[in-house]
Parts: sequence; structure tokens; C-alpha cells
Amino acid sequence: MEPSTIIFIAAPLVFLLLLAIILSNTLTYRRNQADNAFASVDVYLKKRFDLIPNLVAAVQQYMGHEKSVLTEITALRSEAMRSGLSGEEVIEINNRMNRALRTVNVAMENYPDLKSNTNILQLQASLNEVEEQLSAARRTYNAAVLSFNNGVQLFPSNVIATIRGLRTRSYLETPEPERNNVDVRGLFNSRE
Amino acid sequence: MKTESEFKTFYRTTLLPLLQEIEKLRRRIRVNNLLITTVYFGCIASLFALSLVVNRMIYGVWFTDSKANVPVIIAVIAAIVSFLFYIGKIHANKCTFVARYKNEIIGSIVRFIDEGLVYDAGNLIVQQEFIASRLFYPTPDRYSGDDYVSGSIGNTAIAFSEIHAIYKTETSGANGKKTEIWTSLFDGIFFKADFNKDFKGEYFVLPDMAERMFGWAGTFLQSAIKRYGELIRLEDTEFEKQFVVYGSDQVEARYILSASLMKRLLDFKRRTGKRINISFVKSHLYIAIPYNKALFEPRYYSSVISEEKTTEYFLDLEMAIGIVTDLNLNTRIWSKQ
Repeated sequence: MEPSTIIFIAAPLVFLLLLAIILSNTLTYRRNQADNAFASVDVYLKKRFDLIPNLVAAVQQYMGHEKSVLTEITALRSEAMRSGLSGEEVIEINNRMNRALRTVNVAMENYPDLKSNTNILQLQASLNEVEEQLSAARRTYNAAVLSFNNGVQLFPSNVIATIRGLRTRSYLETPEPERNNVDVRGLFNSRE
Repeated sequence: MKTESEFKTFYRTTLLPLLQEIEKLRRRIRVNNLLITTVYFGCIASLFALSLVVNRMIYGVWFTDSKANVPVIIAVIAAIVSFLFYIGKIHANKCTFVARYKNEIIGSIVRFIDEGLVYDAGNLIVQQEFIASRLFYPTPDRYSGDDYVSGSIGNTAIAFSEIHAIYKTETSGANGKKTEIWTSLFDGIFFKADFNKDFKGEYFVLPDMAERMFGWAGTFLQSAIKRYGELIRLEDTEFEKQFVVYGSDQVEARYILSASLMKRLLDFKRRTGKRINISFVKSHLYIAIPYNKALFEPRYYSSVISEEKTTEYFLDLEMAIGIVTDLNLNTRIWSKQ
């Protein structure tokens, strides 16, 4: 076989091989980005759960009528501390925690003593901070997932993704009930 | 914050009497300067006439080509020296008027907008702060400014001033001769505020030209620019169309640029209609708002009694001071108090 014929056949093959390597590496890079972003979501979730016992201890002596919400928060924290939880389970517990904490925040408005307690105000500030960081981490994760999913679904990288068995990931959405205003009265009544 | 209609009332009740006094001063200074100019040029003309007469007395001609015209030379030297004094005097008179206008009118407008603020006409944001914002490259070779406003609005410490920054580049011609080229780096209001959240990294929100002009190719170009850190793509599409964001950490960038801050920055940009540059460095917020006119300078050649012009100053000041409210910087529900 003529050398020019070999080059004529080999060149496209080499090009395709290089393209496949680049696309595969890009997909791995994007998947790692998403994993890394999820890890920071996890860090902030843990950070928030660590603040919970202090908050419960500080507010329970004031909040006589909302004991059930505080109990729920403590139970959710214990649940979250269990090992071997999947990502979805962690998110689900977190969403329930969001709702419960929001209820506590709104209920605190009814207790003027609480609002003047510096310890509680500091705790609230810390919780707000962690929630803001958590929201930032969630948005970072979603941005990383968008980039990864684009890689998995768009041609030509979708060919490599199919070969490697990579699937699209789901976003960390804010659940529907959280988008609505919390009906505090309804929540407390349902627990009493 | 004060509204434009509140300002109009303030203008009529407080500023107008002050402006009438300053207008009298302006007229007096202009007449004075005109008088000085007439007398000065009269003297110079007489001096030259006299020098020519003396020349004729000494050399027999008004002006000789063969000898040094000593009286004329003396007259020229006297004219140059006295011209410097003349310019200095005219300028000093004008400065008296400008200083009074700025201290009384601009100072009153600043206090009217917020009592907690102090106006210093001659001061400026120091160059180190300008450099610390990391918004502009290279480091300015000439840096000047005035109209410094500082103080606190609620919990938020702010400072801003007018800044002119230019830098120098040198080019070598074909004959090896070097030519200096001075290029403007920034002209406008440079604003600094204490940001309401603590953060460690450095983040830059810049006007987005590339993406709007070149689409995805523009995004590719943006990601290739590494001077400001890595490209951060945010989920607010409208924000992404107007701005490009760079920074050192993806999560912290989103911690700073919350959904509400992005919306507020967009609204602020629309309201100003300017190509604003923003940076977040060491828990501070820096905003550079470009202007292609001199700010807060009184009119010297026409009457200063102008509601329209004074309202314009108010609106420019209110826009800068209003950043605290516009961006909700006084909300301190996070750990930083």
C-alpha cells in the first residue's frame, strides 16, 4: 500500500480518535465539576444542621405553642446525621428543614423577648448566612449540571456519553411549597 | 432617599437664596477679572509702546536688526512675568467663586440627600483604593479628582468622588524617536462601599460586549480572559446579556450575587444608562460609573441660578448615594453587622 494511501486512511481515524479523547475528557471534567459542586452543597447542609441544636435550645424556652415544630426540627437533624443517605434523601430532608425553619422564623415575630435576645439574633444571622451560602452552592451545582447535561445531550459529545453510559443529572430545584408564602396558622393548627 | 419633587421644594426654599448670593459674587468676580484684564493688557501695550520709544531714543529707529533691542527685551521679560501673575490672579478669583459654589450648593445638596454624609470639594478617593478595586489596567500614570463625598448611610460606610485616571504608553518611530501617548483609563464617579456580606475572593461584574456582539463565540472569548479569574455564568439570562462576571470562586460569587442583587444591579444599570464596572474585593464593593463631562462644576460664564442645572447635580449625586438603597446594602441579616 502506498504511504499516501495509508495517510489518507489514517488521518481521519487519528482525527476522530483525538476528537473522542477531547470530548470524553470534557465530559469527565464537567462531571467532576458537578460532583465538586454537590460536595459544597453537602458541606453547607452539614454546617446548617450543626447550628440546629443551638437554635432549638435557645428558642424552646420562649416558644411554648410551637413545640411540635421544634421537635420536628430536632428529628430532621437526627435523620440528616444518619450515614449512608443518598443525595436525593439529603435534599429531601433539607427541603423539609427549610419549611420548618421558615415556620420558626415567622413564629418568632410573635415573641418580642426573642427578638431582643442577642444570642438568638446571632444564631439567626448565622443561619441566614448558611442558607445564603447553601443557595449559592445549589445554584453552582445547577450551573455545573447544566453544563454536564449539555455535554451529555448535544452532538457529538452525546455519542461518547452514550458509549460511556453517562446520563443527565437532575437539578436541585426549590420545591413548589417553598415558593409559596408559608401559612403559619395553618401549619401550627395542623400540629396541634 | 429624596425625590426630585422634594428637591425642587428644597431648591426654592434653601438653595435659591444661596444661589442669588453666589450669583452676585460671580458677577462681581467677572467684572473684577474683566477690569484686571483691561488694565493688564493696557499696561502691556503701554509698556511695549514705551520700550519702542526708548529704543528709538537709543538706536534712532523703532526697531533695529543689527543690535539687541534691550528696552524691547526688557518689556518682553516683564510681559511674561506679569502674565503669570495675571493668570494666577484671574484663576484665584475664579477659584474663590467655584469653592464657594461647591461648599455651599453641592455641600447642601449632599446633606439634603443624607445628613450622615460629608462633602469635601478638594478631596478624592485615594489612588490605592482605585488600584485595590482591580477594575482598571494598567496602573494609572496620572490620577486626579475632586468632589469627595463620604460618610455612613445606616450601617453602610460609603465614599465616592470624581476621578480622572490616565496612563502612558510609549511608541518608537522609524527614526528611533520615542513618542508618549496618553490614554484615558477612567473618567467619572468612582464609588466605594462596605459590602453587607463577608467574603474572601475577588469578583468582577463588567459590561458584556463580546456575548452581545458575537454570541457563543463571545462567551468562548470571555472564558479565555484570565486576568479577572474564571468566567462565572449565572442563571439570570437578562443579567448575563448585560454583564460578564469573573471571579475566584464559583460558590462565593453566587453567595455575593444573589438573585435579588442581580436584579438590583440590572435595574441600577438601566436607571443610569451607563456602562458600569463593578468589583467585589475584600468585603468592599467598588462601582465605576463613567461620565464624559466634568461633574459638579459651576457655570462661570452664565448665571448659576438654574433649577435645571442644579437638579442635574442633585440627580447625579442621588444616583451615587442611592446605590446603598438600590443594592439594599443596609440589610444586615447575615453574620456581618
